[in-house]
Amino acid sequence: MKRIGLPAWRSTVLIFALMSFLVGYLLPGQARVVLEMKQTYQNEDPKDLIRVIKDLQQRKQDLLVEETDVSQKVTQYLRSSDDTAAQVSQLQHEATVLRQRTGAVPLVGPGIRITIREQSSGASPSMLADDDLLLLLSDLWASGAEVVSLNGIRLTDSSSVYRAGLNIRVGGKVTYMPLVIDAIGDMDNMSKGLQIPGGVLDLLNLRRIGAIVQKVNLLRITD
Amino acid sequence: MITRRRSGHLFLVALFVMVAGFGYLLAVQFEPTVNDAYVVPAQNVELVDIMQGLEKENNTAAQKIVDLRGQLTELESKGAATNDEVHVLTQQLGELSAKAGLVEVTGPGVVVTLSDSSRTPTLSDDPNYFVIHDGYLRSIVNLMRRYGATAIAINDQRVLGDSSIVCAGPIILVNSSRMSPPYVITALGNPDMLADSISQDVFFRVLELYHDQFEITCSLEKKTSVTVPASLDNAAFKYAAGAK
Repeated sequence: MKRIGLPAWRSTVLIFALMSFLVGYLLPGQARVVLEMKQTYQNEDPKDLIRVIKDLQQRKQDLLVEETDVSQKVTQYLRSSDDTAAQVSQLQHEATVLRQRTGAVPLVGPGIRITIREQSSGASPSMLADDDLLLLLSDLWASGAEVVSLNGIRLTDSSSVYRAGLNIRVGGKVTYMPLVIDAIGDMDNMSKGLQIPGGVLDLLNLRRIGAIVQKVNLLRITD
Repeated sequence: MITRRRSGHLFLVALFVMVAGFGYLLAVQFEPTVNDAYVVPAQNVELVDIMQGLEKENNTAAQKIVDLRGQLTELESKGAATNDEVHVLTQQLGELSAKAGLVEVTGPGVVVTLSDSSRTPTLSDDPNYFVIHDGYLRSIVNLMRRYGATAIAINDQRVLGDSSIVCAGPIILVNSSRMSPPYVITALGNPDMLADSISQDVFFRVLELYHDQFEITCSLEKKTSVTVPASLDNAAFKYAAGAK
């Protein structure tokens, strides 16, 4: 019997070619969908997105404070363009603010004191790691700390913090456990920020590192 | 005859594999859409809209601050030219502003780039090794400070002593601003000193292992010139005051 149409091997090749084309056609589409989902956070937990929104709202407030402040300074400067005494006064005020910021003068204010103790007894003594300390400090800054000291050593922009055996190196200085962290700032916010369930203090407690948070009406941070 | 039958079977198997593969791809292609319709899409879409709206507003405010600061510097320079006392104070203020991170700085330094793996983890993999965590950024910043960096930034955010680097699920926030990968950590300082010390540190070596094994991006480059943006935060404290 004579076959009608294409021979079998040609049909096979044709089908394979067609299928390969379709597979190839769909693959980039799939990759694009995955990428878009990552970029637009479509599958993220809404709680995380709400946290981001709250942070962005806080950022908006912070930027507004700076915008208003610089705008007022410009206006004052324009007003006092012929008044040298007023210009000097404004510059001196700005310099005082910056000296406080850069750690050149001692500061006082309300805040919290966190006392951290490692467990030295037992089969496996607990030890505060660099990561723990960096996380704790980051959470402190995020919840409104303005100035922080570790065992009396004030943290500045250039301060690194790390463990070297039993020593804790803060910038160029050395200190030891137990660690007393003083933080001037919004005491309620800082206290809440650190003690949220599953937060940094819970993590420390799970590893048998004790951390006590106390609110203090007047802390003094020098250096 | 047998050979013919065998090749026929082979053809059927190949066809089956191809059709199954095609079906799988089709299913995967449409699955996210179906899932999105099921898992809180409207809520997330709305939240993402709010998030992007706030980011736009913050970018506009940031640009306004940069413009206003430029205007103020110009006025202060003009004032400095007319009076000696104003001149000295303006100079002091410039130095203090730079120390407080309120000025953009350029100079030699290093750049560390970290990014999530482009490889999708299999069922037997721990997906945590395939993404960059906030802790990695904190550790790199800490290393840079330790080895003498004088100014640091992550993407467009200046990192000061009081900068927070935290996460909300998979999203990393620096200075309450959302960061998108790649995370480019720029540090001003001695490039040789910084690069040699960072590359020899245990933490960075672990990241390089993750790069080899899980294909995360982890690179360290020396640069003859890097620019670190100014902090846009207000310098004045709200709670802390000068001690008497």
